[in-house]
Amino acid sequence: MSSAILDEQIVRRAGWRQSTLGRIVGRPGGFFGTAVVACLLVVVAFAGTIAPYSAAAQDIPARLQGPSWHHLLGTDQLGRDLLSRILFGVRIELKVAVPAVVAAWVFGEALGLVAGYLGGVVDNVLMVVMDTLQAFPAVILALTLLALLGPSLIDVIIVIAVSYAPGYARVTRASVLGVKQDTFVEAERALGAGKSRITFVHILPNIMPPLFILSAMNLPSAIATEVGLSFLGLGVQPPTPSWGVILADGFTYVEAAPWAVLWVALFLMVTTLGFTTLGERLRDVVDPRLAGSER
Amino acid sequence: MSLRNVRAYFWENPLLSLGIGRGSGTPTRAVDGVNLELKRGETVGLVGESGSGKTTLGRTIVGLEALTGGQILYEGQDIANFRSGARLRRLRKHVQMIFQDSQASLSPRLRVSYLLQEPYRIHEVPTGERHTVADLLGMVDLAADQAVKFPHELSGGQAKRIGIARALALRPELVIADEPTAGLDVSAAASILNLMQDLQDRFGLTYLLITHDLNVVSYFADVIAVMYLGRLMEVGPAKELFDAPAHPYTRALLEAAPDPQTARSIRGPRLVLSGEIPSPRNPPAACRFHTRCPFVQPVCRTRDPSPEEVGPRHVVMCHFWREVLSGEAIPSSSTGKESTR
Amino acid sequence: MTPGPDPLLVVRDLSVGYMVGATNIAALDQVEFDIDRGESLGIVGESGSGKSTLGLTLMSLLPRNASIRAGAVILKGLNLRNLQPEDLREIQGKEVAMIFQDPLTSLNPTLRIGTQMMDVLRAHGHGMHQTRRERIIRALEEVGIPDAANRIKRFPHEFSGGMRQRVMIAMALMLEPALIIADEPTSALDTTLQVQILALMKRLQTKHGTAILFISHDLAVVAGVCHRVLVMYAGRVVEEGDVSSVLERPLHPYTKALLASRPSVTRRNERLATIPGRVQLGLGCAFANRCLHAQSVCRRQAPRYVKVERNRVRCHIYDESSAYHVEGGSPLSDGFDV
Repeated sequence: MSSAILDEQIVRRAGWRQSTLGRIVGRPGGFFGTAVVACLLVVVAFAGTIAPYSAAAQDIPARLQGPSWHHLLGTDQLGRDLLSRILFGVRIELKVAVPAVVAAWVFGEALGLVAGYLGGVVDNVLMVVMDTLQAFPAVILALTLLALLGPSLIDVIIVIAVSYAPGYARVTRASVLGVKQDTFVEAERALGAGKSRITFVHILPNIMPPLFILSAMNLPSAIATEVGLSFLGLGVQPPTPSWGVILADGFTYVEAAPWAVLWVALFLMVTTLGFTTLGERLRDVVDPRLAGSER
Repeated sequence: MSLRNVRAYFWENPLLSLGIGRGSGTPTRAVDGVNLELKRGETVGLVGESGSGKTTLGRTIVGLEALTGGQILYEGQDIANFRSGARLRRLRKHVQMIFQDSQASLSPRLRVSYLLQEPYRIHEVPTGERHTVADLLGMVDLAADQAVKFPHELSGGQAKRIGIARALALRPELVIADEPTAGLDVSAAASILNLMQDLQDRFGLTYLLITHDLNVVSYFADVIAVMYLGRLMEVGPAKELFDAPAHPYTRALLEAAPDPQTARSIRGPRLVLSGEIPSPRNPPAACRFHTRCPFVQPVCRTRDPSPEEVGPRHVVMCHFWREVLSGEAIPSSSTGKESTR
Repeated sequence: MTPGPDPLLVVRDLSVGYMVGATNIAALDQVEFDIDRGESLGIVGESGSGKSTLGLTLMSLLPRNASIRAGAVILKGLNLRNLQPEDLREIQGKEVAMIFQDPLTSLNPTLRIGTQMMDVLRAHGHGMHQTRRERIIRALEEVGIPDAANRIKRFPHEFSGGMRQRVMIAMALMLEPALIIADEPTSALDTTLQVQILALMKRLQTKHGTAILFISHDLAVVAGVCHRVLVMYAGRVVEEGDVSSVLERPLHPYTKALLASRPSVTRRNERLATIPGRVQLGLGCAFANRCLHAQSVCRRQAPRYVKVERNRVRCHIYDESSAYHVEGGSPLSDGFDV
């Protein structure tokens, strides 16, 4: 009774800090994560303008140099500016990671919904399939698929999507099973709602939060996977400046000129940290129960 | 509506979840042979402790639980076995339920306005025949500005009203109310009860009120049905049951209902039931109530009482109802307790 | 106030507030009362009245964002506000124990009952294992749990609701506290179980001489257990007196409304009264916006405690020195107008 009144008074007096955006950015983790992601997006959009050189411009006399005024991060074995290559590489990474994660999400969620709501035989069959996929070590899976499909950007996306989909399916299914028992689902059934209505209108919106967070956490691993695959020569092929390719090139000359390896490692680390901290902050804000200790 | 020998059993059988095999082993007999008539425009109060099966009975009538046996006749048809979607759907328009935890019964991410129109969407009611959201809110004495809220922004009383409004959207004839005052403050509960009565007068509703508190049911029930472990111990007109209960369990429930007046004069009931309701998986043999009955006699442990008529529309299942009624029954010291003071 | 010269618990001018963000929400406002040894006092109020906060304050269990703004809580002569945390912990459980509404969440589901009860005894340093075990079994038997020696090995979920509440009572009684605070102990139970638990509490109180502070939203339940009752509204005490006079001759308009809005088997044919409006705190009397007898002084000035026969009321109507009578308000004749 009076608690509702108190809530109103509280909300009115609370400032911007209490809003969802404020809570995400307000804390160090969230701020850092958002900043990193924002920078990455800027780079994706404006790489052409920001990068001092093109990714392919060679300058053999200037090869394997360390950081200098002309080349802030140094050059690779063909004299290409490392900074520019890495910046263009951001596009490649996100061009692979984002569609892969989205595809995994969509397919995984669809399968999870079907398994969770229908239950019974369908559920068991689907889960067996998912378990099998997850049982393969990701690398073996990747190698097999790429051997079959041939190395290219699209194929890398498919491979990553396939390996992450079971994760989404499992989370979705677990959420659906949980929500299925809730009173409001019963109430809708009592009103006469059919299965599809209940699934899409009532269950789906309530299971979204964990999936968002899963994606935020999956993006950096997807990027890392891409880097690994390209490094092995199984993904994007040189001269496309995927970070894995840059890493592979730099690896050959690492003793003489470790710059490429260093900078890629640094960028990769910052990107991963950024997405992960943002994801954690999102998780804390969206569902405080999952958080360790909310301060 | 008539319920004839309605039974709802639950089995614990992991194979069932795979869709293989039929039930086996000892079932939980949540509802074990209930006969009840619900007359149009009446309010029937279904009372009993938690575990008596009353909520299960309500849910079975609405279609949320499957019937194991018996018949539920509505307008001449046995709706118990309506499995096919279409017939069940049509039934839903006539029989609706108000849930105990109203806030939980509202889909969390949808606004009140959307939720109130859900029944129409589900049953594809043409726009001309729908009540507007404002209408529905007005029916339950809520201002139209509540429509934009989400369920978690509602107070307990408001959520309950929304639950009522939604249940009434399709103009049902029978409304099953599960613990309508649960979790509400005294003043909020009072307004809800008043509201329910007003709505009944206005729309000619028939209510099945499920509760464990006789005070709630006393307010406007015409008929009381007392349920214990899946069976009805006593059914009769409210006035008769309150003034002269024929079954020991009814009497115990009456005396347990907290009341300022009786508390004043007696400072504690005269009849205190010992122990707790046994599990429906293992109901006592013969008369189910014999383990807690203060008037238990040897025959109660061996022979199951059959329903006997006390008066018009008044049925009781007890070997000694005449003695209970006349006040001659004396509590035996082994089970029932007289409270001192 | 009727308690004797050396009350067990004295509460004076108690005000407690919660900090939510930057705002202070007053939960208790100038609450005062006494409890004698062995007496049972009921606190009746609806949600938001502050009754639970009162219980938590007395147990020193307030959450971090709440604090006592003013006033004193004196237990056996000791002002609880001045005590160090270690001393408070000594008192918690030993002098004052609490029973909560939902025994399912108040008991640790992963520990056996025996273990949990043992922990309580160990925390307060009681004897050796064997004597502790005997003490636990005796306590359980006293609250009516059969076969206690074996039951202590069970987990909470293996007990039914009524049994769990009995375990809670046993745990509270084990250390023989002077005061037990029961916060809605029967609200989660069916009426038939409620009657059992209340009878048990009365019996135990007589036997052990424990004082009980019984918090409930139901005046009728309190009436069955307590000698005196306090009615709370919006953090303030509005009426205080012994149970029979408060029930038969309620003074404060809120108390009257509360009694009139309860459905009751004995008054089945009367229409239930409802209280219009919602809780609104202002300068004057907290109930002013919903009171049928309110005058403008009620909205301006908070009423004082006034003694009426053996009870106390905080209402301008009974305050002869108040401007209420000047403004044309007249003493209530009878009943509550619906």
